[in-house]
Amino acid sequence: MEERLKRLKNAMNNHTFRQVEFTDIHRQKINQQIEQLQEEDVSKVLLSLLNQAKTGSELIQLLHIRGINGILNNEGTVFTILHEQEQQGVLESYWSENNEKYYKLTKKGQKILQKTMLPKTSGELSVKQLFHKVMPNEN
Amino acid sequence: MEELTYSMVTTANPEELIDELMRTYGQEIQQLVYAYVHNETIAEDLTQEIFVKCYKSLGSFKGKSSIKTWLWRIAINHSKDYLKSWYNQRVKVEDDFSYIVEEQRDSIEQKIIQEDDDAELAYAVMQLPVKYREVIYLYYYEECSIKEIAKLLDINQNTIKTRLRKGKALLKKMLEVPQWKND
Repeated sequence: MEERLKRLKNAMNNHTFRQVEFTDIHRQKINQQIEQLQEEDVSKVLLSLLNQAKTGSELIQLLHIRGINGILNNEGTVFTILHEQEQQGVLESYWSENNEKYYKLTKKGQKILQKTMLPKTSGELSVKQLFHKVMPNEN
Repeated sequence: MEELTYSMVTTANPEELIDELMRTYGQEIQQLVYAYVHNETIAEDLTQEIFVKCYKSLGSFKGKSSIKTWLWRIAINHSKDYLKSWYNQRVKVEDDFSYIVEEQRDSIEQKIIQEDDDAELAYAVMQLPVKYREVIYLYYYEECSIKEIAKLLDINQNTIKTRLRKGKALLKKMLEVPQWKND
């Protein structure tokens, strides 16, 4: 049996895995999902930060502090999201005397924030649970 | 295999890191998952979920094991969770269809088996119960050491050795008395 099992790699490659192929299309599909996740992450956190007015650069700093993956090497996305949210009436912006642009939640934005706070907590829980399961010896 | 190091994990853009992981290990992961679930479509879906899960969990990777080990553990646990899941165990509609397909496939595979020793071996391994199949797969296909398997599966080394022995005994039985010779 031992001798025969030495051929298992060959055997499975030629038979079992003949139809199993991880293609570029699969990879791109996953990349798209991740990109979407990143945007969702960033916009959720942005909402939670904008109960009080803040400037774009303050927001970026705070996102970095929170370790939000989606903005690493890609800070521009913050402004894209701010712009979109403003157009949807979630945020409003104004210029201060020092000529800095501030962003703040509108009433509509505050309502949305209250609703999204719940799923956000449960999301964090599930990641913790995952890690408890995946690497109990490593944390 | 350890070309992806901890420093890369901490410095690289997470999006690029996952992309790199997929390029390096995507095929191996999908095969590993297939070895558990024995279904191409499900293996594709689960592989997708596994890499998204990795992305979400990247912040908690501490570099205490290699990133490959970490990725393998996520993949193995995810595949097993699927096998244990309510969906997999209760949704019988799909089973009914696959039963028919399986029957056809069996007879085709039996034909091939008569001609090909390797096919016979590969087929037999995929018929093993999961707890034996996984250790046989990791040891003989992936060429992991007993110690590595113990780490991947969170099971002690003696249990792994026992399962390897029993798995081999089962395989021997399956391969000694091929069904078509009963005719």
